[in-house]
Amino acid sequence: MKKNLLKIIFTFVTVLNTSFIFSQDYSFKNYDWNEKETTITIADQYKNENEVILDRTTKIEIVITGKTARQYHLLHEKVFINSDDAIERNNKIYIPFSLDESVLLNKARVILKNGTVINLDKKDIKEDVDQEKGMKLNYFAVNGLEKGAVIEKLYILEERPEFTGQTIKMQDEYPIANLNFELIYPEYLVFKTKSYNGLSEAVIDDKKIENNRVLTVSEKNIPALDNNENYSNWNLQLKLFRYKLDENENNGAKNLNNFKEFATNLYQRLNPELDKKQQKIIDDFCTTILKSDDLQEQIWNIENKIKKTIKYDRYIDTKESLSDIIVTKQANQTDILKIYSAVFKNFKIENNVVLTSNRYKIPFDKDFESYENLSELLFYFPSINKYLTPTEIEYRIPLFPNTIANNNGLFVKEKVFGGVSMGIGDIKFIEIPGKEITHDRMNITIDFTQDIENPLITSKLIFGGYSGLNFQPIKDFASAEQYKTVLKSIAENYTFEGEYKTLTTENDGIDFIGKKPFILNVSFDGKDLTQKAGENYLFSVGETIGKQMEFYQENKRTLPVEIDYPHFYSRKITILLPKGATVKNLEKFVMDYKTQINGKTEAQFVSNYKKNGNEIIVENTEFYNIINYPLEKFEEYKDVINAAADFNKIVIVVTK
Amino acid sequence: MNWLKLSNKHIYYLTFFGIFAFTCNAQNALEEAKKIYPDFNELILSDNQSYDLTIESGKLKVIQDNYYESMILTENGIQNNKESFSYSELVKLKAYEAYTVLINNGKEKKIKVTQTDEIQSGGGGVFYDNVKERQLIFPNLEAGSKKIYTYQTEFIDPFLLHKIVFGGNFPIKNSTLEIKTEKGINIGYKVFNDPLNAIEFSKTEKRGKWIYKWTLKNSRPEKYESNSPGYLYLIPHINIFIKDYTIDGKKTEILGDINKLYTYYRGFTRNLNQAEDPDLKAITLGITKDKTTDEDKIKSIFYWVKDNIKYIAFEDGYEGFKPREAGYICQRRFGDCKDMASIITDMAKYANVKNVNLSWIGTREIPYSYNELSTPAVDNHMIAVYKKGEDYIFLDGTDKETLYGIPTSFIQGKEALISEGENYKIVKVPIVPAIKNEVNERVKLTIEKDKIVGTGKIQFNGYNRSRILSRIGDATNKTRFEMIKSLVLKGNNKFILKDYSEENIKDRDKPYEINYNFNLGNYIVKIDKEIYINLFLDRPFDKLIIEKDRISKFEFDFLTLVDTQYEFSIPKNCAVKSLPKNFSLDNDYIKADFEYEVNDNKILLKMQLKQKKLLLDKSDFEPWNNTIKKIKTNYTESIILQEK
Repeated sequence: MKKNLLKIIFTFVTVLNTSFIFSQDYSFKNYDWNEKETTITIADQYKNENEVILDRTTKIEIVITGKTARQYHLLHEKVFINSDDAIERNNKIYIPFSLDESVLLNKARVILKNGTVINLDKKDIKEDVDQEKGMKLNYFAVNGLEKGAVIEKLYILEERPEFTGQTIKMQDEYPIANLNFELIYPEYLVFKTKSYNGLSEAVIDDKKIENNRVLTVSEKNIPALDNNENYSNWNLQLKLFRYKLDENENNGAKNLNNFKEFATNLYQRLNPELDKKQQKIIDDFCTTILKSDDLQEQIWNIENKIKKTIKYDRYIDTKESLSDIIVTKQANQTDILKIYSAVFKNFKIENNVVLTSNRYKIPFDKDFESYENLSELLFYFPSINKYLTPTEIEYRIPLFPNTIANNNGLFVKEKVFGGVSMGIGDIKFIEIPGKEITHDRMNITIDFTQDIENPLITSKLIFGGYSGLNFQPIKDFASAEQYKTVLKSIAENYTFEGEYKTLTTENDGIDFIGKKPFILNVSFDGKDLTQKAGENYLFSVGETIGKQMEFYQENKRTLPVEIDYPHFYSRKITILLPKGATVKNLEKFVMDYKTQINGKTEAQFVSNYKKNGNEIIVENTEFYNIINYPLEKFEEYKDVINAAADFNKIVIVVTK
Repeated sequence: MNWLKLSNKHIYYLTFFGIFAFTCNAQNALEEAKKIYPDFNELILSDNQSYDLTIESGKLKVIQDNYYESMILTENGIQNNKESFSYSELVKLKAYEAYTVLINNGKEKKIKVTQTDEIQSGGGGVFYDNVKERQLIFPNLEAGSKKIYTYQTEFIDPFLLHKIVFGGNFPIKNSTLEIKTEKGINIGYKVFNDPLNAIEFSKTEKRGKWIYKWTLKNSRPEKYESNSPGYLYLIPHINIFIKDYTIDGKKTEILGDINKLYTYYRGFTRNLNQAEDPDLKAITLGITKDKTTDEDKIKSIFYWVKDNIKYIAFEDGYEGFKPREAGYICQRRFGDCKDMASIITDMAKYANVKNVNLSWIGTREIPYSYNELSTPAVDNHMIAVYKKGEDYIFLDGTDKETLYGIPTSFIQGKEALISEGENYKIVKVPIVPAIKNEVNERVKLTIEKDKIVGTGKIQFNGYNRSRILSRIGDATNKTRFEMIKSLVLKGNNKFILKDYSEENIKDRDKPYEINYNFNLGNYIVKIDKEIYINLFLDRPFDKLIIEKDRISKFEFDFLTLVDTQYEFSIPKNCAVKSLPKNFSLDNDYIKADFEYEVNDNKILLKMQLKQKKLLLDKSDFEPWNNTIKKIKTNYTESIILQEK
């Protein structure tokens, strides 16, 4: 079995063993579908839907014998299939589980409109094993599926119990007519639960099954939530249910699976006592790292050294010692944290290990400590207020994946009590590098002086922070030939798909990430942007800033806006006219749109121009200061977005 | 004693120099490789495959050995720490070994790869094929270290030897293929994409065996280019096959010509669909009962299969070659390409339509003809073919929307090997002419204030119909709205689609049609008393300029004809001040006609563009680009209206 960080930590904090030596009964051992129920009744409201989850019953039962805990997991689902695409989405069923888990029951049948029933034949079930991920997959194709049919599936898995926190989606892209979730557990255990986004609260029944509690969440007619709005965070808007084991009344353990304990254990694990030999290997490694007096630069050098010498991969086997990581040049999650910790210690750099989760996947709820939120790793440096990602090789401080920023995190810092170092955990907010870091600048000159029908356009495009990071690593991993093609396709967005005259770059390659912005210099003929119309020349000046995102027709927005990172754009366009020429409609360049939240301008598009003889200078700034914009501010936000898109369509009329 | 001392010393020196020299070599190897390949993170030093064909215990035995050795050239190169190889029931894995080689204090040090995992190969569109992939994770990597692995497989079926490709993602210093055969075994081979004869070949005799050897030195990696017909058109490779072998004077024929290939294939289909399946028969008779002609019958069968049998591919071992029984396919309601062909031919039997047969075919990514290469490498697909008089109708059930009467786009221009009992016939699939895939659009435009307001009707035929409908699928609400909008969007992205309706989604005999209303902002330019408007609201092909240094041929999925008419109502207070010139062009690639007409208070722009060539060769790139440039120049011409 492959171990990841959490599983390793888990063995320290669990109050129970989790082996599979004994087998014991569970309450739904004899659960079955109703063989005779073979007529399909679809409520009127669902008759025209492509796909409806008619029933979804989930039962999770924790069974404890002595010190052994097991979990039985049942899913019974009926799905109404009413389009060709729905058939194709549903005619292949996959059941993944870990190598130390097993499938106790796996049934499926198709009920056709006319009542015919087609049962899954056991021999059609295929099994695949992925040794690397430690996973097994049972899968099969569903026989006989037609439009108007219902697929009914039922399986029971015997699993490792989930005590440390689990979030279940109770809403989908398709409507759910009936949903029933049950968590069954011995009465001396107490689970903490929470319902999100309007999901009904859990109800506990301690009479239904002797010596057990049955926690139930049920809902009817859960509408589909469309997953098709740009700049939104669908997963976090769904109805969600979260639970975890909180108390064991048998042994008086309370507040189980808390972050504080996790932090203490993690700290111990990451900071083992090193013998002299080990310490020497670490010290030797550290001497190969470039020294700097500037802390951020020193951290950058450390990050660069580790990322270029030690291959990180989640599935690498855990090494016996720290020195083995250096010798074998490989590390998994725990090992990569260990090596960074040891090196920072050597350099005496104060740091916190930070654990968090992807903000587009599950909520990080400060008031509900769930270990699911501890899957992504960072280091935080309090004295400079910056973060480092140990796992993503193309990032360098101060940049780290934006999907784990602007989120809460568990910060684990060292504290010394009576000469003993301990790890202390705190939940704090992980700030995302702001618009001062992701600052794009464009400097565009349009020179009509040589040829009014074919102006020469020279653009210096500077991409800062996250925006530069999109391009900077490519050079290091693509062949020169392939890189050239990539650059061309980037440039095309600013050359109106045309061919360029010159194309050069600056600051490309990982060595510049976090230090300098990526620069693309391109010059091209503007004849494709020019058209002669009688005495005048129409020039599509707006196209030189590249295509822009738009929300022109986003009239019924349902989800609030969430963007990837704050972003600032400064654009300067210099238009050089030949003597005697004028531009008729310069007033088009005057624009001003803002989004104000709590009295603060959080997004803006402002544009203006100046005229000096034959030179016209257009300047605009556009920025998005924050990540989240509430739904009620959507119209203002949309105005700013659309302003940039309008600018992109400005055509000036040049007259000689 | 002295002598001994001396000699010892001597040996010592030798060893010392030996190490030193070796260190130099090892260090130099990295430096030299970096000099020759400065842009790469890794260099493949050797990619060697060898086959050993022997007769053992009265049987032909085919053992293949592989040797792979690469060097990490840069610090970034350590990221590529995994290699893998695959095997299956038909190509069994016998042994493997892998290690990292480090240069440590001048010595080569081998470190065995201990982390190897069998993982799922996730084979493209195949649901289940039982192909396993062995992944190797190389430790201790740094610039200058080497990844080495070997593995041995046994080919169970002598008909199914692999093709050997001399190329990859990194440059390769040395690619070799070696085939050792006993003298009673005859092989055949064919080399592709080696116009300059860069592959060295030798045939020698050693210890009573023939040794065939091909070597290619210093090959560059493949460059990814869009619209490329595929690597088999570009990268040097060798197809090998066994012609025959003789055991105890008895000769067994394997491959070498189409007859032999057909005989092999026929073995998979000879006994197919012998028994009648009452359910399928009843279905067939049901759907064909009102059809009077054979053509109507086969058409309804073809569409029934497309609508009811979903594509799911099981290709475990010979499952990849053998069509399943039609009754079983019908019962399961899914199948792969062979199954679709099987059920169509069987249903044709029940409907008493003659001349509907199974056919093997290669998709367009395979560049060979049956004559060039008569081995299973020549095809990868199966369809049914209906011979209607002298015409052939190609019935490919795998694609949901393609219409009866036209082949799927990915077999256009390819040869079909049609099974006619014990005989076969090779027929070329035609390239569907552009006119069958016409996109026809009629748009009426007026100006209201600063906006263009319009109504339009667009019709999609042939491949354009099928491609769009299969993409839209069952999308609803906003998703569907956005898809439709993207199909009719014109002018710029300030195109507001007010409403739309769709016609003929189910009626395959008619074009898919969208009727729509829209307005378009920030498009017309008004200056003083003049209005500028460019009627080319859509500009087909304008982005298709091909890079000068492109290596691959440029392939289109299919040929298109665009026929659009814009009818613009001149505002009452305006007169036409200037109208662009008409334009026409006709060459090997495109026929284009742009024609303006002014009638009463309307300006009509008729735009027709017809594409002619499906696959552009390198020599076509320049004339193609010139064609597009001419068209683009005309697209930029605006009408000027003058307010009265």
